[in-house]
Amino acid sequence: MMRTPGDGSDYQFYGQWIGKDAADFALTNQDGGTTQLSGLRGKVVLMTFGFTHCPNICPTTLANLAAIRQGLPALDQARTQVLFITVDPARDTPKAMKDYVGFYSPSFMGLTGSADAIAKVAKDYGAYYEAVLQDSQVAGNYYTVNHSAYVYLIDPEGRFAILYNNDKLADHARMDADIEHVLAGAGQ
Amino acid sequence: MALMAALLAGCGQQKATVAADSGHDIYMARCAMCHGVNGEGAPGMYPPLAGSEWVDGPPQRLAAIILDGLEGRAGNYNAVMPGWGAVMPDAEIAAVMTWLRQRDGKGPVTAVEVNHVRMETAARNTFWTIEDLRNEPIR
Repeated sequence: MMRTPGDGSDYQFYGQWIGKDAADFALTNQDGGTTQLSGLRGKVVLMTFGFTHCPNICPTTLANLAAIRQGLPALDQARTQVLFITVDPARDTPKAMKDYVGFYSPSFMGLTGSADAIAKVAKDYGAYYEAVLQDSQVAGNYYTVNHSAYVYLIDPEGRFAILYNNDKLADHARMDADIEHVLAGAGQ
Repeated sequence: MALMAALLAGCGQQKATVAADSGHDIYMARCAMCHGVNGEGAPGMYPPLAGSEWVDGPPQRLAAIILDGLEGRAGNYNAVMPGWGAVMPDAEIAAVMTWLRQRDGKGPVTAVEVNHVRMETAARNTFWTIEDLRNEPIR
């Protein structure tokens, strides 16, 4: 049985329950191939937006996600996929994404694409981002990107099930409990 | 709100405000048809915005209404307001809010603040009602 609030279990989700269909997308992965969200059915997908030049939030987010995934039983780790979607496609090539996400976990996927494709995915998920020039411009290409930092849990049936404010990621045990509860409902 | 701002600041500099002049253009394109070119509203149908406590009050509440719309009696006004969240990006909503509020001497609203409300209310799939807004204060 798919897990939802009030499905008969007493479990209270740690994150904010959304329960809407997840908008599908296809982007370029860190190996240069194409990854489609709907191709990840059967897994829990933990998805977040960021960029590889991000000085602070993205490293923390990815380190937390790595620890959260590692806290799961081995079988559930194999059924949990982290997706890091860039909001800076001009600089974040597949190679840059591979180096970046690979540092946190070889299992992570880093997705990039055209500016339009990225904008479409960000809009579908309500993600905010905005490039901001730094005061000290270097070679005219020194900018940062302000962006929202939520984590989206897509359940094994492709539903945008749960939304996590970034500050929730620090509690790895409660994140793991949500993931295990969702996976337990999806059957083995 | 403060937390989100802090998080985003970590990924770059905060833009302090959104230009209010673009807010006027957006207002004329999206809002003036019902609320009037000067925000005067229409009796029995569309509430005035100029000097309204709903405009000048908590920006989160106003952002929530613009994102997901409002139905049910709001005072003496009966028209349903559609939600604009699917067609207006956060920066546009912030710009129109900033323009409306600055006319009343209130401070600007950033796209980051609007995005916070968008995400905190992401589960919503119906119009707001006055009762909802009273019962579910938006952080």
